[in-house]
Amino acid sequence: MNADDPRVAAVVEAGIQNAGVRLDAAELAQLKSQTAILLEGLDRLDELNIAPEQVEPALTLNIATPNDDD
Amino acid sequence: MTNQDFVTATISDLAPLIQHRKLSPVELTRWHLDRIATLNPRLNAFLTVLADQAIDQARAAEDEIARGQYRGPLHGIPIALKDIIAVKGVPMTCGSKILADHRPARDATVATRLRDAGAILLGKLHLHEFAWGVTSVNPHFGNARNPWNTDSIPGGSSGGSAAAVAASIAMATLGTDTGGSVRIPAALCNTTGLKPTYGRVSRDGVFPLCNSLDHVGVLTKTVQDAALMLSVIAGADPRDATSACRPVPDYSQGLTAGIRGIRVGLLRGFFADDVRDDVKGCVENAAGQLRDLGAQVEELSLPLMDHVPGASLAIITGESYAVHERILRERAQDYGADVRLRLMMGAMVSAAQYLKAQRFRRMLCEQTAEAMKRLDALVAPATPVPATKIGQEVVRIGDKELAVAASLSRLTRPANMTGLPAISVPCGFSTDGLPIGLQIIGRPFEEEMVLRIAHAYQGATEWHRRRPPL
Repeated sequence: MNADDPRVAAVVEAGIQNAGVRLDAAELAQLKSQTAILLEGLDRLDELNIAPEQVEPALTLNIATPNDDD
Repeated sequence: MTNQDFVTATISDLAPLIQHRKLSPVELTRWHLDRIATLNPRLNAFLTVLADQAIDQARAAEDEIARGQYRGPLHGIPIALKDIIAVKGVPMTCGSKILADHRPARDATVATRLRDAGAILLGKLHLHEFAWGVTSVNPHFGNARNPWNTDSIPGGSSGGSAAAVAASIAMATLGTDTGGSVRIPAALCNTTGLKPTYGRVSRDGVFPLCNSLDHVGVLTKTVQDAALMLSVIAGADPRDATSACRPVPDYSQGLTAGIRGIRVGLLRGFFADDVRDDVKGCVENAAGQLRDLGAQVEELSLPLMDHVPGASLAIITGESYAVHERILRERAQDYGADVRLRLMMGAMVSAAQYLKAQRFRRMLCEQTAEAMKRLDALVAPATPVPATKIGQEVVRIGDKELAVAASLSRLTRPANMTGLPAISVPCGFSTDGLPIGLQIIGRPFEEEMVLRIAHAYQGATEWHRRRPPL
């Protein structure tokens, strides 16, 4: 995926609008380039076929020992 | 003691002298303040120096010890804190002009624990703005510099914390580590840097970067000193919901047990890819040293590690955006350009993507735990490359050009994602004379094993004794 990908443009446009922050053209180009890297990394997680009903997100209080009563 | 004695002295060396009144905490503190005055203009490690307050604390320590009220090995020892850790009434900028006038109303828990142990607070230390970066290049307060080469970065985000220990302008420091921010600067500055297990040390009073990845850690000249510091700051804290209620051992106790028969996994795959040859060579040599000390070293790969950069980026950008959302909307132009961009990236992460990354994280924890059922620790490089030049954006490794920020944090992020304890200790120097770090990763809450292996390694090597030519 590269910064010109229409999906990147759509995500960045929505994200900027949501954040309510103005960026100049150079910053926008950088943000698109970095967002492409971000989305590519997230897409690669799909290769793992993680089943939401089988894997709990790591959001418990102690990440290192999820079954700890502490 | 001579000037050179103080430069090389560790807490473990000086604590008995202070206890038996052969060394004055006031003398020791003055020596550090004088050295800060001499070296800080070149290194920019300290953002705030608390000279008068430190002398007052040192006098009080001296009086207490004279009355027979010795508190322990940190009593009278001059230390400093990363300027993201609250100390009542002392400026806490987080390395940003946005908080230039911020003075906390109370201490962070770790600051209170160090104060109660009798440590002397020299001041607050430089960092990458809001700890969101690994170079300590900072548009608001100037750049922190590496004592081994002042044209190079000290690493970050706890750059000032590592530079201060390496330059002997503080005997120990605290940093924070969200993607490697204690271990990276420790490796780049030739200090020892320990990130404990998630939940082992309270983050109360520490400005968050990413709550589910943030840790407080220690930077010291030796593993022995790291054990002393951890013994003081570790333990349950009702002010931090993630803090674990496990008892805190005396981390100094088991240090000298040796490592004969200890099972160590030398990480390959992700941890050997895109690593410079001189770094690989030092880590190979270190693995050989561990074998010589009696450890059983075997190679292993953990395939899920390949996904750590993608998943951790989504988590850290998403959570840091949540922390800064309001300030970013109101004062975006007051952030440095690099941090503004990283924070904005968080606005690109959906809740579904964030949770996908956290589900991956659970799988990563389980795969790593499974591998560590038969291993006491894992070893790997702390960073793929040594310190880069200030302002350098890309680094060449083999035939690839990689972004400096992503490369430097690549091998430290896994221990943040899994919450496992991890330490970086000096293990050699690059072809251009810059320090290289060996990372040792342990099982949850087994800091004692991590420290024991690291201490055995330091007992057999001299890398940690080298001091920069200042």
